[in-house]
Amino acid sequence: MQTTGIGVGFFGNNERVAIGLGARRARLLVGRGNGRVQQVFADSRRLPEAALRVGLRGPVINDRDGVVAALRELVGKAKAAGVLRRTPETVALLVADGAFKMVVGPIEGGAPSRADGDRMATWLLRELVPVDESEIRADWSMLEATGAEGSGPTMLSVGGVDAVMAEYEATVAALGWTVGRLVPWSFAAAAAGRSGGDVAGGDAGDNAGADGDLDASAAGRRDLVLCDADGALGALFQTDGIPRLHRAWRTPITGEGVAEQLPTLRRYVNDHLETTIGNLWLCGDSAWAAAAAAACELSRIPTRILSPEAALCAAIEG
Amino acid sequence: MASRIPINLAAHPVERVRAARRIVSIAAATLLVITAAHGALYAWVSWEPAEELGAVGPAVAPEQIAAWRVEVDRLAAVADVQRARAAANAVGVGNELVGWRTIPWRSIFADLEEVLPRRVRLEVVAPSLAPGGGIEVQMTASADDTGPLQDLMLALEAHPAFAEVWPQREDSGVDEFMRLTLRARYVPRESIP
Repeated sequence: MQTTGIGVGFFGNNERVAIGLGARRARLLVGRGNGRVQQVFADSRRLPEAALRVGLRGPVINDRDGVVAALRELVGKAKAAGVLRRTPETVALLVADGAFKMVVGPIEGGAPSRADGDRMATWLLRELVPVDESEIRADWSMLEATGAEGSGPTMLSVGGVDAVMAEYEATVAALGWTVGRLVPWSFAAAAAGRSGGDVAGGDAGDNAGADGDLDASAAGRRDLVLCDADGALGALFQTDGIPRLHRAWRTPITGEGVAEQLPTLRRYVNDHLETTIGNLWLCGDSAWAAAAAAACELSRIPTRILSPEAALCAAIEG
Repeated sequence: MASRIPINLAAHPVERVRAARRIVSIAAATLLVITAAHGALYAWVSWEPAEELGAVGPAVAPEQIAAWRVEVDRLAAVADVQRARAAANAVGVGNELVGWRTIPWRSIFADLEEVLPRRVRLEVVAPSLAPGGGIEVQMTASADDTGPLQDLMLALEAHPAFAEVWPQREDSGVDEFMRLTLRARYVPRESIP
């Protein structure tokens, strides 16, 4: 358990909460602050065996009582530590990437209305999410044109099966809380990496090589985020902070096993996105991240490690 | 992209929750302001004038206030006189009506029948209550000559029910009849000693 003492705000207790659900572990983070969130409590509990199954189709929570019990235990510890004094307005929930699909599609004309965008986002995902369009829950965002010849406005659409999302939200609702932000682990980790804050470990210069030193500037960044949600690996590749590629692995990937996946990702980025991986961000618990960083050393890609708590903080900040 | 995480798949996104709460807060604040405005308006409307005069008392001289009071009393007195006159008029009309009903019509006509000469015709009989009490009867009689009219005058003076018989006007009309208007005090029979 990690706790940090911090004073109560002038207008009272402004505690903000994030929950992370992985394949084998539940995490709880309590932060304070209206803009930049400062972590005041973080802890995790191992989930009962096979209590949670990462996937697109439901049911995904096989042992709801076991998952809720683990979360209740974490909430109890936070309350005992005196950092969770009242019900939060909403909580952020991080879910393993295997529950989501992402697609980027071109858009004719200007930005669509909210309703039109929802329909288009669902339509874009219809081939990737194996349910009827009406059962897809999707969110979307317009991406700015890159300025390259022939490039136009594009729509980023991320979605999954509505019933699966509802399962996750119902688990949190059992605590009396409302989920106000539901995002994949890799997106939260990418946000944490983009802000460059709270890096848990690693050495920026360790793996500097063919693609140069770790590039922390916003412009020209080509970041590959590999995020292990406690047994469920997800990958997100971004250029200039814009998601371009998203992948999730069905089977657990060990830290050492990451190195075997990296060449495939690198080739895809080179061939299909016609760019290279500039930075590699590894997000997971310290043992997994350290093993992955060591295994990726030969790739000569600048690597940094992000703690799961950094991703949880980024999810709260939004 | 405004947000660092460009998507949010929550069923109740925090942005919408906050927007809804903001709307509720604005509505509550507006309601509070309206209520306060109503309260202030009510307080202003129900403000006691005495307190207001008291608050500005030093600005008005006592002599001025006394003069105002005198003027107010005078106006009140005028208003009272006017009201009294109106009431008196109303009482007078009422008394007239009462008196009209108390005139002994039957008795008057019976006595006139006794005194009326054969060739005289009574055209107008107008009894009224005299200001000093009693009953006055003004009548207009017509005849084809003055003789019968003189006879009527004499008969009235001789009758105990009529007193103070005075001729008022005598003229001859276009119909060749002579007319005599006279007034007499009538004494009801029960009052005759």
